[in-house]
Amino acid sequence: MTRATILLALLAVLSFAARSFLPPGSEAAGSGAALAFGFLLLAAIQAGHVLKPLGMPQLTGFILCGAVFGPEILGLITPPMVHDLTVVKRVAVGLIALTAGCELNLRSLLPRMRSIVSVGAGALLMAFTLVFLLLLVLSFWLPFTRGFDAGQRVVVSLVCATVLTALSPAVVMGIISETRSKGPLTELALSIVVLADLVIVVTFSLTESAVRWSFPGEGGPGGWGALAAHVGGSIAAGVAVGTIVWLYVWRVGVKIGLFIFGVCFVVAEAGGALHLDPLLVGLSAGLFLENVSPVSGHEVIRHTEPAAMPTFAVFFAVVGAEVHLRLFLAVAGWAVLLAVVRATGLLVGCRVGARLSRLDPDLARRIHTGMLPQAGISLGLANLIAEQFPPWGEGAATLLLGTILVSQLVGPIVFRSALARAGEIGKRDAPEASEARITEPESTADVELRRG
Amino acid sequence: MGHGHVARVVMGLSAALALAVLAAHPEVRRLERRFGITVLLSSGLPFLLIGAIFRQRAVGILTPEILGDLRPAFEFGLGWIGFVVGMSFDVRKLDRMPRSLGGVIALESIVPMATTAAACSIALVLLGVPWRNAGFARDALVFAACAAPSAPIAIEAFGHVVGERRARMVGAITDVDEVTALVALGIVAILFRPTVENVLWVLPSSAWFLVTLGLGGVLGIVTYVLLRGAKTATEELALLLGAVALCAGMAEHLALSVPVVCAIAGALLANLPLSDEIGVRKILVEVERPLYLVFLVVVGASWNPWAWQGWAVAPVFVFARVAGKWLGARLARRVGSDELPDAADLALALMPQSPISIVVIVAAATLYAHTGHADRIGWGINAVIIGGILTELVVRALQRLSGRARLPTEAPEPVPVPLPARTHSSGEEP
Repeated sequence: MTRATILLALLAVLSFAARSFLPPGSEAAGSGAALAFGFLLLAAIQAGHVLKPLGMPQLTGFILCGAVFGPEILGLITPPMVHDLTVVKRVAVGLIALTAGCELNLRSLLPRMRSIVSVGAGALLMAFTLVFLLLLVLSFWLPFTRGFDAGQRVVVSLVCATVLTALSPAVVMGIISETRSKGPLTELALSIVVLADLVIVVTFSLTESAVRWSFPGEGGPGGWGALAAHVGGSIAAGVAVGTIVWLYVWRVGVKIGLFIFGVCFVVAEAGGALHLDPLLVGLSAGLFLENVSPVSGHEVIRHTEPAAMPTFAVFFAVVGAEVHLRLFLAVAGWAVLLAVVRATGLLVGCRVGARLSRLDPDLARRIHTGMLPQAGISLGLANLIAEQFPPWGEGAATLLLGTILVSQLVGPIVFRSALARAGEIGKRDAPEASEARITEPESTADVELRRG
Repeated sequence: MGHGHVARVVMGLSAALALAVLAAHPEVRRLERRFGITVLLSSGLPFLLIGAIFRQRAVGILTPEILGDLRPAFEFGLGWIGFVVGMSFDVRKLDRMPRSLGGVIALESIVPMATTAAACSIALVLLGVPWRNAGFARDALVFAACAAPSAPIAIEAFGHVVGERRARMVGAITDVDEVTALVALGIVAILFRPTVENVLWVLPSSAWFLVTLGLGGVLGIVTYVLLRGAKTATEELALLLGAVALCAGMAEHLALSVPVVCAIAGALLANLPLSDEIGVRKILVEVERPLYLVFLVVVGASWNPWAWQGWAVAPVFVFARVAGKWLGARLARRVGSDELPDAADLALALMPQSPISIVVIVAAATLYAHTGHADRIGWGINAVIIGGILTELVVRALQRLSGRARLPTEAPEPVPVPLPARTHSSGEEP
């Protein structure tokens, strides 16, 4: 921890020193992306090491690192640098989603499908309902809904509730990968967040259509056609990507990790132009590989594993750098209230769903923790609202981003703690000899938690 | 972007990816060794052409947006290649070579640098470049730096021709003359600082020399400390990626030469007692080729093959360089030990142009992109790329004329030969 803290400080001092070359506010001639990438990667890993002995996930360290060194606090990473790292983020989303899809074997999940659907549906419905009702009440006080009629208040609350109901496959996958967890809680949480992602995308498109109907003349094209193209196109592209990876692994079989990385770059570039969701493309590709193709998804995971740490570190550090802390402070009270209500909804919904499906009580007690984190998709949807509905969208996005920030920071800590209590941390297959050069001891905090 | 255009972009990028896969295939490497061709011809040229063709407005695959997205990979690639060159500068390895090797390396790299600088200067004057201009000397020195590096040889195959010990000697020479090229580039970057407006650091050249050395050194030590703390191979890879990106990014931010600063960091790391040296070298070599290919695509996109001046300078560059290598090898053979191959074999082994030459010219072009004379930088890129291809043909012809066996060249093997175990004074495991 001391070593990591010193290294973190050293990296920060070096970067501050280098920035003194140019006057404040001016940018270097190059893109600055290499500097931002290198600094964020190294600093995020060290920040993760600083938090790990405290029993906190490294992922929280990555996010905090991005937030602290990002544009809003220390400003070492400037807004143009964050923008330049967008492509890295898009590639990372694709890679994380592909890995998440490869983890899910639907055949082995089939016996638990009742629990997955019951718990997932219960949690989403309850969280959505509670958050919607709270937003509807708050709409009488919130500045951005001032002057709206009743119908408009309802549709705005609906679309915002959809965003706040979104879960985070990226965070769940990040925690699972970092802790090398395996067990019922790990599998159930991952299955629910992946399937919920699809439900959220569809629901958002429906509620967004309702908003367009309520606010004529606002936003771009939408409706069922756009929804079908978005979801269907993303899934079809995912299957195509899965087929290409399968053929490559089968016929070529060398440098698989690099090939997948290249495919994710092509998907990120083309997906942006074709309005495909990289998360859905990656998930569909992963699910196809694990469940349809003769190639094992775990084989793909094994080859992409070396890229996992840099991918997660940079992705979450960029997510942290994009955090609008000043905006958050303006809505902190409402945001915390919404996050608490969301968490309560997830908890109650999970308990109800678990009782209906007769889920193991220990699992039922902990499963909601996997649904608390929010990141990628919810951030994307919040920003979409800001872009699509300019008169009131920015205010709504500020509130949403503030709420997401709370879940983003608290969620990973709670989920990791639940995994530790369930005894699932470190239960995945031991890494290969070349991977585990030095055996990494479990942190004392994990052992303490498990005893507790 | 229309759907037809998107489809073209997807197909184009997929084709580039497929070609990258093909180029990285072990069979391609085997063919390179068998036919004695460098990576520049076997894989490099197709990527340069892809970059050049895809960039054309009529084709429209490498749009400015996509090139912008590839830009970080390009900067990072420059740094990574510099880092790999620096890592080859292992003093312990050189200590095991005969003492005369220093003189041999100096002669075989400095003589072609001098002949190339002189010949290319004359060519530039004939093309109407005013020689009193400071940029003239800079361009001549950049050409000189491009002339130094020789393509790495296939030690095992060359060993069958001249003996293993001699082949290893030549291998060490080709490793170090890549370092010489970067040293020359570093000197150019310090003496001819690019103009950057509104900077707060206004320093003399001597101070920039210290800044370059100091930055490379500090980042090398930071990389070492980071890698010492790595718990898994995955973390080692992540830290190495981050360290090289940080080196490249900082060098670019301070308007220093990216591969030079990264090479200094790499050289320092190579000479420190790393706990997993073989693992680090393996990562460096495995990632090098894909990065080099992406680098070539971006270079190809900015390459202007229609600049006729580049075609005019290319034969001069090749002639001066090949003649310099021949003369350098003859002189080197005189000062060198008997463990060197004979002068003709040595000259033929050192003549093929290293892909690092393109890295050097592109690094210089990147550094001076905003300082004017962009047309001359374009000529240089043209001359060195065409020069690399011409050199292959000239060397082939010379080999046939002299009746010598074909001397194979190769890209570095993915798995490096481990260094002998060192004595660890601290008592830690080697």
